[in-house]
Amino acid sequence: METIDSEYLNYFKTHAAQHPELTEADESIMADPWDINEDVLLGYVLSLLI
Amino acid sequence: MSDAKGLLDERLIRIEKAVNLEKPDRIPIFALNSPEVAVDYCGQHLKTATWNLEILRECLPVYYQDMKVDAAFAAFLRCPGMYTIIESQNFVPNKDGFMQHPEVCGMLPSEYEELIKDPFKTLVEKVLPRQYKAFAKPGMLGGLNLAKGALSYLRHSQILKEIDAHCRDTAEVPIISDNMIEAPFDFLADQLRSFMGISVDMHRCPELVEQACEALFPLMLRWGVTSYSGPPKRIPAIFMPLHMPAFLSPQQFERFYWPTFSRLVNTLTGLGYTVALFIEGNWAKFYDHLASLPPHVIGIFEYGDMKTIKEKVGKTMCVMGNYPIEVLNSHPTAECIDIAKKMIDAGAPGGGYIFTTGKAIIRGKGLDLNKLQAVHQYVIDHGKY
Repeated sequence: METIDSEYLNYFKTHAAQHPELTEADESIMADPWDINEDVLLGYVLSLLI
Repeated sequence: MSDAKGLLDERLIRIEKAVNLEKPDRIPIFALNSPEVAVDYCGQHLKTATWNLEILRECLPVYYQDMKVDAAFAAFLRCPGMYTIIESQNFVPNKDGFMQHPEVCGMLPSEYEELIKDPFKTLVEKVLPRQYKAFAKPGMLGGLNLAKGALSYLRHSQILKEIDAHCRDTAEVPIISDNMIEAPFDFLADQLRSFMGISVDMHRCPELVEQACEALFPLMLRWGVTSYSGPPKRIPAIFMPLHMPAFLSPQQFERFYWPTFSRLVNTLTGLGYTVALFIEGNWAKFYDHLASLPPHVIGIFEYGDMKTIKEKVGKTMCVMGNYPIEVLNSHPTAECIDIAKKMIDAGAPGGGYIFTTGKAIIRGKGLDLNKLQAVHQYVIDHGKY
């Protein structure tokens, strides 16, 4: 599946860049950009533009 | 109504066979309409119905039942409540509540590079505040309005899904689409650059247009997958209205439209979905392209010669559409039926064909729906394989 590289959707990656104390374990918990909330956010934004 | 599940199953099997390019017991009839026509048909006031969806829940099954259809798409209604509170520029209600879509430009040509680098961020930061003025309010207010719109969107989406389920349960009409996405080029053209803007961009900055379509492709694919209810299935399908190709030259189509569009269709069908394409305008110059798409694609044709369409694309694609709705206004019933007869003579042989109109019927005014009923009854009586 295609990934989407976005500062907003990949929020952990963006956040982690400013917080070096975060570990890979933190990432495994937080980094899934495709949990339900991200899907809904994507759908909401795109639906406003079609 | 006594054997609701039996009739529902019978209709679903009829549709599934046609989608699988087989011969069902008879030609299936599909309702290509927007929900507004059901409100008109039942004599209700549209503006009231768009704010009170309970009225739509009452009207839609009546319309499907009276039109004797075998299947319909998921109800898609732009609810003015949401568009009004977020101060929409791109969808605005007219006096009687029907939503109009003016030509709008949400992204400047100078912002292509940003879109290509991070499309989602650019949509949120640049495009949305131009199309929805409430998002551009200073401070936290813009963010709060974004959240307010999201709550309204989720609420309306849920209610529309419930109305679909109600139609299925009461009118015994299977709902054969689930979600809707766009081809990357259409998404770029519609509300980012506008019809006029994209027409200029293809000449002034063609490389950026290509790259923008590539950048939008993952969003469209991901949206198609994640907004679908549950795991991939062949029915219901993912709906894609195709807007721009009728206005493109073959060279422009091949360069800008086809690469990401065909990849999107190939990927989705490969993942186990069916894609239902609303082929807007006349695509006669692109039939060979359509014929090269994989199986599990439904083509709803607005214009074109049905015999040619069937010959060119019917080996791999389930064919629908093409019935000219304007004749329901201008021709006597017998002639409306005669046109339907010629159409099914061209489209039905061999199976893989569903009868429906070439355009979505959006309003009841100006059309004699009694004639549509008569046409459908003819298909039921004479469309047996």
